[in-house]
Amino acid sequence: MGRFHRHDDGTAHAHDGDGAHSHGRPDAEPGAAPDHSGYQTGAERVEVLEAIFGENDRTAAANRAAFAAAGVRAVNLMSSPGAGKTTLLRETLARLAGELRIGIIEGDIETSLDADRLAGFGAAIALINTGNGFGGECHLDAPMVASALPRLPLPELDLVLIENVGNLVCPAEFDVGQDARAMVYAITEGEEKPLKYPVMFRSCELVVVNKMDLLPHLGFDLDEFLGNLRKVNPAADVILASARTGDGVDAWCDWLRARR
Amino acid sequence: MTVTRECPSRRRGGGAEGARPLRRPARGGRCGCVHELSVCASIADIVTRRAAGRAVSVINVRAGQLRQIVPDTLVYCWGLLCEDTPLAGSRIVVESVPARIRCRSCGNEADVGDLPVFACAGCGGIDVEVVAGEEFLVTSLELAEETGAGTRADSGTGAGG
Repeated sequence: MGRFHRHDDGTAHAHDGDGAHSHGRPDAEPGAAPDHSGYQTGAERVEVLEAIFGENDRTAAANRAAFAAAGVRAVNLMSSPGAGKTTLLRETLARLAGELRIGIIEGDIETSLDADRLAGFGAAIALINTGNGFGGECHLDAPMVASALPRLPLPELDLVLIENVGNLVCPAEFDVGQDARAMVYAITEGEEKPLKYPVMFRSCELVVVNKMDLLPHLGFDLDEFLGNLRKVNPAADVILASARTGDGVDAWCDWLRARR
Repeated sequence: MTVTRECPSRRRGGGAEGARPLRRPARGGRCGCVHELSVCASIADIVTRRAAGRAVSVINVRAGQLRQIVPDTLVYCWGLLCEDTPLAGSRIVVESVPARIRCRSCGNEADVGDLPVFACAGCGGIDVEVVAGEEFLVTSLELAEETGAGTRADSGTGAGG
């Protein structure tokens, strides 16, 4: 999407052909509205037609350009809290650290706990405590990611993994300048989540279905979940995985390699 | 204005904040409201710039169904954000736009409906494009009559909230 829609990555969803986005974002220049002040005493209307996330989108575009200029691919990794993003990233670094030069942008509400868990693998880590960021703490936005970029040696990196704040709503709304969006979903969350959070599930090119090692212990219907996912995002790649046992992590690493 | 509901953004000590041009979202724990507060801050930036000092009574916003905006929450958070600011007393009116998809295979166009199925109802194809429902913009401002009933976007005193 031109703004924050799912297709601003330009890869996963079939918006390539038309080029035209009728999303109502004329985004007219500031001050373009005629100034009628001083003539009337009654209420009057000022035409605005300005995208509400315009400022974020401009910063996201700058982030995207910075990644591209450095030859870095950036993946925005999103999930609900506790779905296993950090565990997956740990396993990812353990497998790829000797092969790819990886940077991590770690969004965390308050602590450095997640960043601490990722230390020791040779990756460059930039922590963003979103509690202090503009816009609150429930997601990363483009200015927050921009603030982290100077703390990463971008020209020396191949891949930047952006670990978003655990949340199935807000992160889907904010373009941060990534090349691709991926999501970690845990089967403990229930089959209906794609229908409840369609914007999030639609925004992703890949859904890693995590905690598959728990399948024998849950009343989870995998086919029903996959059917729900297909209803909202027929084009998404799916990897069945357990970050804890390592199952599927190699497939995820292959998917990351293919981003380059 | 009397705040009758606790919002996470208001946990910051509620002292004199009259000097703040706009109240930014602060720390909190509940996502939904914070999301709308963040959105309101972006709207306030646009309104302040476009109003160019004129008093504003109504902000018209168009929000697509796929933008995850809860109109009531947006209206409520606008009141919180603008309290004790020059925009206090203004209100947001949200025009909701249903999500609509068009099939690239057969050309069929239809509303998505409440159950979010992004496949063609005509031919079952999955190569669909969203043609409506992703809008999110400030469409217009309604200026207040110059009687003091509205609020001036450049005034440092606010309208008493």
